[in-house]
Amino acid sequence: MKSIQKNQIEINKKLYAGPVTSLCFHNDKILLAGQGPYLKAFYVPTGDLLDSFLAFECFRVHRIVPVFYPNDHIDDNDHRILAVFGSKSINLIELIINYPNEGDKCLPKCTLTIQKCLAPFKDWILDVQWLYGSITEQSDEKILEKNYLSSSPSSPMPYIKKETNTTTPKEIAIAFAHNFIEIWDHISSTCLYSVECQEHCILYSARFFGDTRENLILASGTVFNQVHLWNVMCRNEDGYGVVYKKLVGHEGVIFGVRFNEDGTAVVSVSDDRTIRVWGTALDDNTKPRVLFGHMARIWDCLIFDDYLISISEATGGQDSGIRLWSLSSVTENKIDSEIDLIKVELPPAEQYIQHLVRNNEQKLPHTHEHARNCVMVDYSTVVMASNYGYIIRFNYQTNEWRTLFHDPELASYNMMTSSQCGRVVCCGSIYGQLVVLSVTSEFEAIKRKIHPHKVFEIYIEETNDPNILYIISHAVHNDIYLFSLDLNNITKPNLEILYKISVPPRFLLLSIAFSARYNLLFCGSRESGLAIYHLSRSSFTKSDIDEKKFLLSDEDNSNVNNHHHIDENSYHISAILYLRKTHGKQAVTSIALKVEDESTSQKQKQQDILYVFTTGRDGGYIKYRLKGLSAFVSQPQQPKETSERADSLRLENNNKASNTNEKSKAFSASSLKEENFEGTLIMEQVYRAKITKGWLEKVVFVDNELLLLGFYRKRFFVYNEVKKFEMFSVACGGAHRVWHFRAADKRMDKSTFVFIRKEKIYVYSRQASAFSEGFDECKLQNNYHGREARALEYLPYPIALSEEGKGVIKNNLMFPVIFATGGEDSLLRLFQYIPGAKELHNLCSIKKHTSAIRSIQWSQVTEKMLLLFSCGASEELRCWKVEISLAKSKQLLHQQKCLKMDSEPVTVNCLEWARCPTISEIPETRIMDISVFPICFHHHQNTSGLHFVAAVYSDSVLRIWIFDEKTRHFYLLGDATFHNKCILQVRHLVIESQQHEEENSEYENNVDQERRIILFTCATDGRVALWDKDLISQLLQHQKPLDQPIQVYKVHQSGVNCMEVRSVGRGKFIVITGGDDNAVTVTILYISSSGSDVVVLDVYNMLDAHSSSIQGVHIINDTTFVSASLDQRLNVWNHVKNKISPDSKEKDYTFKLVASEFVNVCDPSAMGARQYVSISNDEDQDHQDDDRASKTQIAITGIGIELFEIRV
Amino acid sequence: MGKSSKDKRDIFYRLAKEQGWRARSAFKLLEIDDEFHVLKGVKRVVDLCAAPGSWSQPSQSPPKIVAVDLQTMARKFKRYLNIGDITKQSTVEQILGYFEGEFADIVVCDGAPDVIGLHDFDEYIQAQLVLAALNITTHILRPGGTLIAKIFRGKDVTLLYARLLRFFERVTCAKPRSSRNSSIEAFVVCQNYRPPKDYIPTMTKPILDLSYDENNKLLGPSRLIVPFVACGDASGFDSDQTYPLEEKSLDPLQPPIGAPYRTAITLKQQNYYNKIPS
Repeated sequence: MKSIQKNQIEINKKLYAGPVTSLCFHNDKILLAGQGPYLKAFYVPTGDLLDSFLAFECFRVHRIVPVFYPNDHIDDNDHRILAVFGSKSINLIELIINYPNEGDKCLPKCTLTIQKCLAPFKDWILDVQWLYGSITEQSDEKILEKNYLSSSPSSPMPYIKKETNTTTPKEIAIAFAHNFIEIWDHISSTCLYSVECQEHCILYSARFFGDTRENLILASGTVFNQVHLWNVMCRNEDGYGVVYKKLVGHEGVIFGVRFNEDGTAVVSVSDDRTIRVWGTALDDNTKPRVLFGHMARIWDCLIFDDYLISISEATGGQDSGIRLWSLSSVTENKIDSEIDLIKVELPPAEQYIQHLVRNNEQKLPHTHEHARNCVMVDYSTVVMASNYGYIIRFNYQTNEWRTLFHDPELASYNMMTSSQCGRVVCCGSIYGQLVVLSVTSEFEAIKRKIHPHKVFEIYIEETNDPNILYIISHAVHNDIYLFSLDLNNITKPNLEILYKISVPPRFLLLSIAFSARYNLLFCGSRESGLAIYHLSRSSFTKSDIDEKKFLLSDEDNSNVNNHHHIDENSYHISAILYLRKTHGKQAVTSIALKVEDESTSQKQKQQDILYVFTTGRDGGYIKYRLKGLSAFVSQPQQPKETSERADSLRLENNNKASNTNEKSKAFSASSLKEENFEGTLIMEQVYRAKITKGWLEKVVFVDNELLLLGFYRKRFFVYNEVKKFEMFSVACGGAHRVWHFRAADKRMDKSTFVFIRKEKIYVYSRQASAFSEGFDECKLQNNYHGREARALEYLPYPIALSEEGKGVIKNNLMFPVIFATGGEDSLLRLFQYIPGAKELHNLCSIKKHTSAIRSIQWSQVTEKMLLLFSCGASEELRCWKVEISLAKSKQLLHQQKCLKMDSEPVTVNCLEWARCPTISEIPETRIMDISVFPICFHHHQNTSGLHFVAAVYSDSVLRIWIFDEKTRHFYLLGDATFHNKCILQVRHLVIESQQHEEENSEYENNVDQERRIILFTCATDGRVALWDKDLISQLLQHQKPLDQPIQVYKVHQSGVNCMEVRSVGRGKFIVITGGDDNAVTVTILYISSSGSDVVVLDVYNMLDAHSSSIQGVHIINDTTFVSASLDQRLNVWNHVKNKISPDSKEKDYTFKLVASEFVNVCDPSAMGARQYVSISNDEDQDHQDDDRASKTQIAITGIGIELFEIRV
Repeated sequence: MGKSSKDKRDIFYRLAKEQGWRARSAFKLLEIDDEFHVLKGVKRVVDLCAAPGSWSQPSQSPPKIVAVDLQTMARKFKRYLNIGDITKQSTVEQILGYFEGEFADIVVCDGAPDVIGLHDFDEYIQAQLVLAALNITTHILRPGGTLIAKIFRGKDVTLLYARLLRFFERVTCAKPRSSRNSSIEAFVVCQNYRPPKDYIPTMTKPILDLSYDENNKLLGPSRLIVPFVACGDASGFDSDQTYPLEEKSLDPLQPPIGAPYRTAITLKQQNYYNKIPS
């Protein structure tokens, strides 16, 4: 925490988050990470951050090179020297770890201290290596060494580990980007040796191998697509280092190069999307192995024996960026090597017929016999149906197979499904029959004639009783029945029809999920519908069964007309809730349910919430929140009538957000008040995201992690939505009619994927191997945006706490530091800063924008409705409803601490609320910035719940929208084309006419007595324009075109990138702008209360405020402001009196740079600020004397984020 | 993928095709020339990192142009000299031989290296390209001549300014309007070449970066910031603005230079990555 003090202005660095640029294991429990200028130590078993240490003032940590250290060396007091380098500097840092006594549960204590700074060197450092003295002391090595030096350069020396030497060597070798090496004595800070390679060129990467001067070689990855191996001690006659081997073949720049452990191989990665593995021996002329597979640039690749781990640029979904390769199985065509493919073929027909003893007259299947269908019953067993109607169980690990059943009526067509437990397989025939089989032959097969026509699909759902399964069979003409299969008497299971399910019109059933807890059945259709049924008859009394003859007699299957009998007597049910077009017009392929965990339900302890997840062939998934479930909890004693309840049910559907003109989707805001109303089922869409350009086919929860399964191009993939990466991808030829996937754990150590392609069954299987067992993953740190953030906005409102069932309680306010961010990764994220914390608290991350987010604004009319607006490329302008709550236990502890930052973590729900229609004629139009203002005029009751949204577009148009939070619609109020350039920023200013009259009588009186809104826009033309918006009259008169700006002035040579406006009273306003031209300009304006009179009173130009484009300005008070620029400096400016003679032409006052700090965020694009008055008991104990000091927290974001605190 | 906010459509991209320029970057040199008149009366021009050749195009009126690049230009100019490496002594000799012992009046360099996404390294590499251009310039530019080079206005740009000011009397940071406002790219216009008295040009030693010192501090008011000039017609087209689409799209005059990943793309088109192992 560095600070520069001048004129009592102080800048403190509070927090940094950004790319992790280096990693190094100290041992198997301590991981060191370089993040920006910080060196962090994590305790791997628990994921705790032990220490975060500022290693450099203004460089990133590019690599951490520890002194060699025997693996088994773990003392209570562990210490080690690390060479940490970044840019042109090396710092030697001492790491001391104090481990707790055995049995003691506290964490190890980690101390990091800088021992020595070696800086700055004349060139960029690419690698550093410790040198452990000469090995010539060992006699037998000496001969080898001499031969080695006298002969022409040859293969590298064997790697010799120093067994006991844990003292720090005094020499380090340094490789520089201009392809030269220096050896330094770090104790005396002197350069002992220097050699330049004979190849003069810039390197993108370099790695040392060897640990003495004599055996040290460098692999140089050049800008000219080659890797050069050269010996540090071997010079040619001109004194240059001699390249002894050139590795030629890459078609792009070499981004990374690594040696294997014994130095016999080098792996290089390149811009050409290949990994190449080369032999290093001079006489090794074999061709390198070339690995294709990554579809983006590859940054780095580790090599361990036979395995490679490569990292490439993540391209969004289809290439997760990290791959594991096995060299032994990488051949020309086989690129997925980490999993094994098994092709399952039917055994010879003579063999599987033998199992069926009772029917000897079976014809031997000989022609066209093949696998027709298959299901998975466990990770190594499938049950398959043959074309001739044989049902065969097969274990592909033991190669055991067994025929379970045969029926000619199952020939040529057989719909099969297995139960999750793997005990039961159901088959549906072309004749409408249903066959229930035991996988382990626990009971005789049950065969019933159910439907008049062929069975389309069968679903098996689990119930509260593990011995009772629900079977849903779906046949032609929407003939759908729900059966109960009772396995309590295992030798004679009981199959009975419970319901006949009536589907809405145009509804082809495709997916089903059942909630046993609430007796709710969810059905998805091919036409994108989602229907919910209440199975009110959760139990049946004996009399029910007798009376309605639900029990099917064994002889029924002979009766062709039997289905009529079923139809008359079965219990018809209809949907209690029906949503259409949930996935556009695409099929709803899968439904999964999740009951909110009691322990995480902090908001409503008593209220049940069921989350419903659906996937669709639109490539997206939707998360719904289902409330009002208390009436649906299974109560077997009191069966309820559905017909009554259906009337009271309300559909709350916020689907199809992309079509904003459709009125039917409007979601009444008032409904939220009634969320506790008995018997009202409320379904809200809370999240929706598109994952793939292909199809999403299934959603499952494994170990509480949401996995999405789908097909894209010709591959099947598993995407982990919690961790946002593709876990698994196999080439399977495309989306298949028959496929199954099962994973036992979230790491997919045990998982199986089965599919049928061209009448063959294929199985991909992963079984936990010995070395992956016992490893448990641990999340050490949350990420920030993976790409450049472009927008950041602090929540300007306090949060009103609500107590359960009682609504908002006045004056019980809390002040958490929350901000919203967005950027190039198109994610909208919410973070909380907890004072003193080293990490941001991640509140939510929403992928809804289809392209970059450029601006974010908060708005709130009443405490009940907190809205967030986000806008960006593809003309997207979205509105979100944000619910912020504090854990109930914490609420009691919470005390009112006005104007102080709160340190309790909150939980947040961010609901998709509305999308603004696109109206420009060009699809690529970007919305560059928005300014939002909640309209709450006292004497205009009808304006409550309205938000004024001024948006500037890249097509040079200013558009003014009104957002109505009741109807959830954006209404275009007016637009204006000005600047004739891309408009970059918009700000608003509210002028209180009343206030003007009181404060200021010298200027004209305003009879209008209303608030006026003045808008400020600026563009790439360097001009600022002022717009007077007489808001209310606009609203009432529906006046469409805007007038011309009331004032225009030029402040910058080119783009005006940022702007802040502040009223300083008496009709005077400060406008501060930052330009692309390195300049910051302060303009003092007078605006009359009628808005008709605008005068530029004064202009202050700071021409060389920064060395690059200004990206953010913020006004702290009437005399102080801050600016941030792409040059990564944060400057604080103060209005001071000039020390010049009175007759000079210079102004009396000027703005002076009074404090400055380096910003570790690259490409800083946005700045946010939050001002507060500190009350003494802050973490800074040393400021107690001045406990009323005004502080401003500044957040600067770009690639990463850094928080600063400025005390004025 | 359509995920980038720097959207594909750029008015200058289209204008370049309409007006027959090899790349839209041609406008940048034209706009710099509008402001600084650096091309007026020049006889010998050297275009470093020239491919695809768009910066050689506006300079075609003088009698002699040398275009130097590792990459090939699809259609060569009449006065086009060679393909070469700007760090080689042989390149210097070829250029001076072509100019018959005379020095160049102006050296331009619109080169940009492959970026790796690590901002600090990318900025460093760009600066090294400018320094390499400066190094060859000291061999081939006449005293009083001009160097124009592309820079990234990043965190250490003042170190580059300090180095350039040792060789030129006047260094200006120019931003053409055809260069996007959102881009970190700008150009240094270095005028009146006057190398230090004791300076001997050499290609064997690269010119390296300077460090921060008393005259050019890391922080605060004592930083070496050169004047900024926005170039081009303020009322003209804006590279950040979105304009309505033309009816038909024009073919580029110069197809893209071969990408390093073309083999990978070819394999992808042949379905190499999605074949089922058999």
